[in-house]
Amino acid sequence: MPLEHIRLTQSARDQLITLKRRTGIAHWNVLCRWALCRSLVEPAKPPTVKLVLDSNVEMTWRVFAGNHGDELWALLRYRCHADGLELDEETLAQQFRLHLHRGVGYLVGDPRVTDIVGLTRLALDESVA
Amino acid sequence: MILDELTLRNFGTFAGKQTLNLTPASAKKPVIVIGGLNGAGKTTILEAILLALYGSLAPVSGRRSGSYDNYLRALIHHGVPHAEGAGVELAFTAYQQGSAREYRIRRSWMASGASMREILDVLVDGRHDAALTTTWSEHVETFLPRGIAGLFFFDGEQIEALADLERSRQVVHTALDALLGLDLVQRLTTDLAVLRRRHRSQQVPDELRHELEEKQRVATALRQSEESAFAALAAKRLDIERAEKRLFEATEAYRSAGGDLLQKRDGAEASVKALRNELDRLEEELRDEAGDLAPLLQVSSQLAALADQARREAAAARNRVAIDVMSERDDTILAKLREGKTRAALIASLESFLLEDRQVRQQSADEVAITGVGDAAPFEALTTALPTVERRLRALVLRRDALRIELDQADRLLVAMPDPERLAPLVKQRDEASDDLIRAQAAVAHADELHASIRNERGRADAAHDSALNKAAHANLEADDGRRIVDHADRVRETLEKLRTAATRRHLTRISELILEALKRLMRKDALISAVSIDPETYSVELARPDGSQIHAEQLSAGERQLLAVALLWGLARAAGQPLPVVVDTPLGRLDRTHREHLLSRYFPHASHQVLLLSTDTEIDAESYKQLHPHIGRSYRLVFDSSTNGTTVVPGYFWEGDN
Repeated sequence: MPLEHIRLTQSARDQLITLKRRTGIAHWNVLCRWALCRSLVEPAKPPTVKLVLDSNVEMTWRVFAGNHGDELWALLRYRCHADGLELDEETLAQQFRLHLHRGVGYLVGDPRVTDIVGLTRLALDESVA
Repeated sequence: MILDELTLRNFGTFAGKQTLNLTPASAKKPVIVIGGLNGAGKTTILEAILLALYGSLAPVSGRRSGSYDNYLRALIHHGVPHAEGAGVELAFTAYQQGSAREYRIRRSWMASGASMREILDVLVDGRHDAALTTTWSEHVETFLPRGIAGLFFFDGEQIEALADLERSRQVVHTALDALLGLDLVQRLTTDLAVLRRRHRSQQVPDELRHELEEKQRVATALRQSEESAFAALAAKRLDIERAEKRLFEATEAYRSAGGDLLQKRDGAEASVKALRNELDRLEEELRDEAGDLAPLLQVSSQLAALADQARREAAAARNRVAIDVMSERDDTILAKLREGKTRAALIASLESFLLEDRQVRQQSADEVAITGVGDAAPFEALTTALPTVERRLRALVLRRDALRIELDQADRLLVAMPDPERLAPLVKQRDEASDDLIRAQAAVAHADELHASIRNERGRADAAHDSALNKAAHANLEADDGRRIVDHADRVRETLEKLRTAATRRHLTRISELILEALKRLMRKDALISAVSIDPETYSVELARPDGSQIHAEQLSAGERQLLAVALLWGLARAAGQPLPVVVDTPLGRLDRTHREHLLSRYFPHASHQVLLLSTDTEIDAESYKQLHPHIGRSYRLVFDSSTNGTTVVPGYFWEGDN
């Protein structure tokens, strides 16, 4: 797998803790999956920011992706291609981190996500739309 | 009536059996003279006649002070054992219903232990008559009524007593009453008085009245206590109403304060808890879903595009492999065709088709491999799985939303429910009111019971009072009866009194005339008295001179008064209108010679058809006897022998035996 270890920034960690509290979801990886998908839905490219991955939250790709690692990776690749980026390892990893952190930010900032149902609605609304 | 024979047996001074024949010798000689010295037994003969006739009712007052038994005992001759006893037998002839009948009365008595046994035997015409014997004491009245016996059988003492005007009034009174049958009226009056007295005492008994009053008092008291019990009951009922009102108010206050909801609080809390659990369960499920495919739903459109891309890439891979093989084969096929006799046009078109096909495939093969996955299957699997996940999620969310609303409602309900502690005073108030009500109800039940029991008691007391009233009414009726009897008795007595006075007045005139006639025959001063009148009220005898002036009894001499007395007796006896013998004991008491002559010559021979004179030798002395002799039918002498201490009857008067 191109990305062996996934680390998060301190602020993303704090935001994830907030989300943990709001949704009642206990695991980082589940929330991170939601955050990635949330960001991939957005048509705009994630702005390129410098991420300081200084938190102690760290997980392997397998832990992150679970049973659908190939599909998620394909999605990322497809997105990067759509955004007109090179599909090399470095770019993909960078884009992955950017999407992940943007997604976390979206989830925390979304007023609908007050509980697990709000989170679920994101998926349902998205699928309807 | 004529006395025929008198037999004495051991009677008084008479020893043994003595018999006197008393039948008058002839109508011209009605006088029978029996002489005897003092103590010889003259008065005993008079007594014997009365005793024979009347028995225990004999009017022989003077000597009788004790009982009849003692009287009879005393009459037994001295020296004769009491067990042997004595007897008297009187025979007389009486005319009844036009025929003469001979009666014989035998009366004997003897001591039988402490008491005396008296035997009466009445014979009519020589035959024993049992019926007459038993009723003799009543029957004798038809011959000689007791009331007038004194007018025919009397002694000198009575004449002297009669001479006293005060006494005479008494005698005239009784004699008149008897004569006129007024003694019956008198007796009826007396009986009425007894009846009256008996019924007057028949008043409503005091105890009955007291009982009635007591019953009434009890009934009244009970009625009062019933009323007060009823009032208490009403007050208690009012208490109930008040308690009910208070309870109602307390309940209302409790309800308005949410008391009713409080009771549902536990249920509401339970349902909230259940809802919350359910909600938690649902959310947990959602979280599970969120941990699985749910996040991929967001990117479902991208996934679909990705699947297309993957398919294209797969096709490109195949085409890349196929193009070389196909161009080789196409060339081979065209070469073969050209070798054959195939039309060039067909070959040309086939050739262009094959080329075009290869160009398309080349285009496809030129597709960039974006996915990095050579296979579309995983994406297709995902895109088919996702709708199911979506449906499941939707259902979960829907249920969760509904549950949320439900929970909100339950929560609101729970919030609306008041705090039990805040309601505590109200609850306490309500409980107290309820307790009060229960107490009031108990009190009412008790009061009701009390009232009922008092009412029953009152009913009983009323019934008792009613029965007492009935009894009193009954007693009153009886008392009324008694009063009526007393009333009527009084009226009857008045009537009887009037009857007596009227009857007396009617007869007195005739009696007065008879007395005047007798008086005129007896009196030597013929001219002295011209009228005799008897006051019907007082029975006092009044005399009047020819000139009409009154003569007072005091103005008469003692002798004259005796004569007046004899005249009274004679007149009354004649007024009786019954032919009865006259028996006179000691007839000439203290009369002077002139008066004696009058009696001897004018009274005794004419007094009756049979005249018994019981005399001493100084009353009817030799001269008087001589004077009376033409009228004397029989004469006897009573001789007392002091040696035998007994009297015997000897025929002939004093001097006759000597001659």
